[in-house]
Amino acid sequence: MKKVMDPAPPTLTRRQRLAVRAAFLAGGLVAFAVGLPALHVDAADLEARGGASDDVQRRRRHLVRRMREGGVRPADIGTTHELFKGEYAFGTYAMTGYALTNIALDAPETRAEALEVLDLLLDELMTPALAGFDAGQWGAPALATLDEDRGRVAYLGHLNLLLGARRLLGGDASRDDLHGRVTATLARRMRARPHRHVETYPRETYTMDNVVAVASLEVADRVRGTDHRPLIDEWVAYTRARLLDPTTGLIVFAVDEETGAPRQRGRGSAAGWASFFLPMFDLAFAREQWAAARVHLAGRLGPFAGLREYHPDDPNAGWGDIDSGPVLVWGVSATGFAIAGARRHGDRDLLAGQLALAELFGVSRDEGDERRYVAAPLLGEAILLCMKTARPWWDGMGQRRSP
Amino acid sequence: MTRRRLLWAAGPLVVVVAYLALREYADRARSLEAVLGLSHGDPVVQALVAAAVILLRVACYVTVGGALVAWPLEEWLLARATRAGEPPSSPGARPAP
Repeated sequence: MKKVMDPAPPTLTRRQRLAVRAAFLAGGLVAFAVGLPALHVDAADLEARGGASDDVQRRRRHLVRRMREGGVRPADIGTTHELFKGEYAFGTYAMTGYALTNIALDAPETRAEALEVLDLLLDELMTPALAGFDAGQWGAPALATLDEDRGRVAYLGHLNLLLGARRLLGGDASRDDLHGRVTATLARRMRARPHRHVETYPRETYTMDNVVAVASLEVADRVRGTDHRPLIDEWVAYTRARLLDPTTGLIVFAVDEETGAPRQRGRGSAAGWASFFLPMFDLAFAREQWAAARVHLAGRLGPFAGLREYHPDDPNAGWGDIDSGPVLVWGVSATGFAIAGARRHGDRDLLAGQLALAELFGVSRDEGDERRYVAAPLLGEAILLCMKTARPWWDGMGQRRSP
Repeated sequence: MTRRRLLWAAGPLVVVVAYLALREYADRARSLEAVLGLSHGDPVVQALVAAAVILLRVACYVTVGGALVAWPLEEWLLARATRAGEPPSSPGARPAP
């Protein structure tokens, strides 16, 4: 019987093998660059519906459930530095409150729940556990020393803004007395300084903590009928005249308590932070600051976009600190906070790139009707939800002008 | 199925399964929170886990997308080479180029 030999299987030439590898690489890169944003990021829906968008509602449900289940306590946080444990926990509550306020204005059906959770957050923020980071630095609780004329601008600023947000959403008058006292305290402490900037901790004055406090005065005026516009204008005038980084035009990071002189330069995390709070009381100044951040700090790599923490000429540039988070040219905090700026100022291209970057490093996961970032702490979840949903809290917010 | 085809099909699948498994682990261990000092754990180990999750996710897209383009191309090139090597199917048929 004659044996039939199978023909040798066909093989590719060297050039054909290279073509297959090139096609693999090209297909892979296109799938990554196009597929990841397309499958997980819906910037158009966020832009169109804001807090009512599907992504936001899923993440809101997750955040609300986590806060109701106990949120985060300073003791839960792994860092060895007691002050930062407290700051991180406090920030989680504050950012959650602002996010829920934004969302309730876009999706009125969530308003009642937002009010309920805001009350929960406010109660928690006044407990020794969550107010302790501030009390530890000053030696006494902030709310027990409202008659004094110095400091605590971070704690009181956020508390005051949350009290205003609660009232803005239709909360009852049960916290009006506290709101009035905290507002008056912040205003008095600002007026007591020629530079209008109040310390966060003894001998430490940060512009971005003051931005929150000033925003809280604007909201208080809206909901309580007070008038702090002259003081707000003085704060803005001093900041414009003395506290802008000559290289970038951005508000500097810190202020010398004695002289009111700038300390450090403008930074991405501060510019991003300002892009959420500054439009609350001076939209024109906010636009200028955003334009400066856009020119000097924003960057793009394929479908991803981010914000540098440090200008290339900044002698203090490094791998980041407690405020910036890790820095690899672009900063984690800078990019995350600046999502608010891209939304508020209609920067569609940058917004899509920032959301894609957040998704790349956050890794979203759906569970039931909830969604969360696997690789983000609850603080990051709250910050991103807050910044994604940034919006004016009323028509004309930030456009008020002194006569 | 030939070994070649098995590799094309199984490669991306293995990467996807590895990604999903590591993501599950990282989620339970709150890896990035530990890296950032926001939860307890060994920051070095957790940094590696968090980085691996992100890289594996990128690898998922690259291997799946790459296979979707390169595999059909390789099949087409091989089919063309096979046709080129076959004898004419009937007297007078023109040989493959």
